[in-house]
Amino acid sequence: MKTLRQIWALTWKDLRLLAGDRTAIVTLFILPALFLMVMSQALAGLYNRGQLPRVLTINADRGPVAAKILDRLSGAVRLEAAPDRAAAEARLRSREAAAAVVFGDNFSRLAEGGGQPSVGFIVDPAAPRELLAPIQGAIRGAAERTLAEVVLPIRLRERVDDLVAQSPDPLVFLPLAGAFDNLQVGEVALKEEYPSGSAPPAQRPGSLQQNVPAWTIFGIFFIVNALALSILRERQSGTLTRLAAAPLSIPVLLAGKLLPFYLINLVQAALMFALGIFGLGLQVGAQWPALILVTLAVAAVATSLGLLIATLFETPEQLGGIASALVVVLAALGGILVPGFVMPELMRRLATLTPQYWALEGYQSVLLRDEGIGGVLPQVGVLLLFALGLFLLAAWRLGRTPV
Amino acid sequence: MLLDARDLHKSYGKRQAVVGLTLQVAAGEIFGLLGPNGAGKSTTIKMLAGLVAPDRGSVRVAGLDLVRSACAAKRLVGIVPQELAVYPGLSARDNLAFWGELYGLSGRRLAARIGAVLEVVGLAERGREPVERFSGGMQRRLNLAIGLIHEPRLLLLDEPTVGVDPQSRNRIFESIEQLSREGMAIVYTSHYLEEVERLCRRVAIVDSGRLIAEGTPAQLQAAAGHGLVVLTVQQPLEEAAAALVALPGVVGVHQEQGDGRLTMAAHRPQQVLVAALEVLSKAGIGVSGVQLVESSLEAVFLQLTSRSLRDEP
Repeated sequence: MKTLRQIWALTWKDLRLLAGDRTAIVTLFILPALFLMVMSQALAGLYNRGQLPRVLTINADRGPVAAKILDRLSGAVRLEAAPDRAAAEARLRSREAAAAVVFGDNFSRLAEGGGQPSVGFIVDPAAPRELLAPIQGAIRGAAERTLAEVVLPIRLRERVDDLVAQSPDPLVFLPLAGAFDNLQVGEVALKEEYPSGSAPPAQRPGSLQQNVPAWTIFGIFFIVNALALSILRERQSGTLTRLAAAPLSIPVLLAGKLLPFYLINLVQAALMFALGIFGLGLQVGAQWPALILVTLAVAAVATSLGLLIATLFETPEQLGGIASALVVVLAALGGILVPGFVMPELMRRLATLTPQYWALEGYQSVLLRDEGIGGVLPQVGVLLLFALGLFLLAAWRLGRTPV
Repeated sequence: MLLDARDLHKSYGKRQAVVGLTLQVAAGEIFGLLGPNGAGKSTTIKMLAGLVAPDRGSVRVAGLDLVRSACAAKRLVGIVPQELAVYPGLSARDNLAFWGELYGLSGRRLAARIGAVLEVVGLAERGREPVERFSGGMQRRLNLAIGLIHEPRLLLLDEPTVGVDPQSRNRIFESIEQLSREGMAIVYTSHYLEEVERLCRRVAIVDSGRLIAEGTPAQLQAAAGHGLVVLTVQQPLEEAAAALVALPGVVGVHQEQGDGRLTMAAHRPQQVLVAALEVLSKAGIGVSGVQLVESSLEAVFLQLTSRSLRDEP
């Protein structure tokens, strides 16, 4: 009882001091929320499969073939007609569209006559290859299928006409007279499956599924700076000397010093997910216990890292912006600032060395794969190992640091 | 003895910070601990407060060993660090409540103690104000009050008057004297020897981690049997010091580079003063100020340590 009261006295004191620290409030609560709101909108196009890339069309074809190609293409890209090439180029330069397709006036004539019609493809030089390649693929696929459907009946009819001309009994070919009308080239269906043991995805990864957990983790790790500053200020002001002289055991002192920051982490996570769910429309599903378990583990890593950072410096001035810079670098490496799937292989491997990566994996297992507690245990286990390792390192450093 | 520290040793690497230090302080006694910077005072205070475990030797407070019975013994000790160990964002009352709770106080007893210590340090009217609005002197007084909140039987005061105004200094002195009368044992370190002379019944001088003298201020001064001659001279200071150190009766000369002062510890200081003025006159070194202190703790300190108490290490 006495021990709990001592821990609570230490906790309450730090919570009150933090409540009066505007910088800490901005860093821990307001900035992550702002990042979440801005980045979830900014990256929406990268994730949102419903938002197709915009492609401009300049169709001068006098026949039906180009129109058929465009009709087939409309499911894969968002088509918008441009009056002429100059207007299309202007819109490409202003980044309103990724590319433009151009059909010449004799496109159908060439296609139907057995020639080699070509499709013009104007691209914004700044458009990334990753964006253009699927558009090119879609245009090529639509054009090839359409041309096959247009050209094949003509060739078949020509062959039948030859056969009729050579046949002693042309009437036997009569049933083939309409056989090549509306000929359609078959399409291979893709059947989506999942590795054995994996449930179908609860949701497709979207901007919110990346950004809500990512910026929650980002905010949680900013506790490193607040915690390290708090300890260094105590050391500088002499209150740490007083705490060490008080009748407190080391575990009580550590618990009392870490608990307020751990609690703030939990409040941060709750507020960020509340913003994601109620403000931005994130779907969480039913696996709340798993989500909470991941949060508890992430907060343990962040507070342990804060404690370790505090042992590496002697004054708040020495700490400066180093803790914040470290948090940003770890966030970048761990797939918080830049999604892992756009990283090169080496960076993806490096990411696994950061707690942020495992935290994001844990959250996304819950949000995207609908995993329960059992499903996030590997990520939680790794996070707890990080927390334990950092805490032991900090305790060792503390033992070597004079009060 | 309320505080019984015996044969304390402490080393940091190869550096011996404290070597064989033995101190005893009785209940109601104010004990002065003096020494130049780096002499081992801070390490001694840390060992007496239980912040640092001695490599050898023991510290007992009211019979409780500070290492083996750490929590129980620490409850009997109050510490007032040299730094302003307060939380500026909280009020004086909230600061006191926090420290009181850590020492196991609660409810009415805590409220009563907060009121009592604020009264002792003269801050009863300002208790609800945020400490960041306090003057430096008021923060020093709160620093003292925090050390008293749990009614310690031993109080360790490390430079408690640094940077305070005369009004706050007097208030702190009065508080310390009142606590002593109430039976508290107090260990007092200061760079201001006049404070130590005023407050302390016994004084220990430490240098290089060793106790080099102990006794009442009067005993130490009588044993040394000399006073101080302070001259303010024109440059070159080194040349003047070299001329004076050879005078008969001079036991030490200390130079204050900033203001051109030469402080000489000397037997028969009046005769030394006359001789010094003559020597400096012959050397063509002008003298712009003279001060004669027949007998003082500072002179004792200068003789024993060859350093001024305010020297940098």
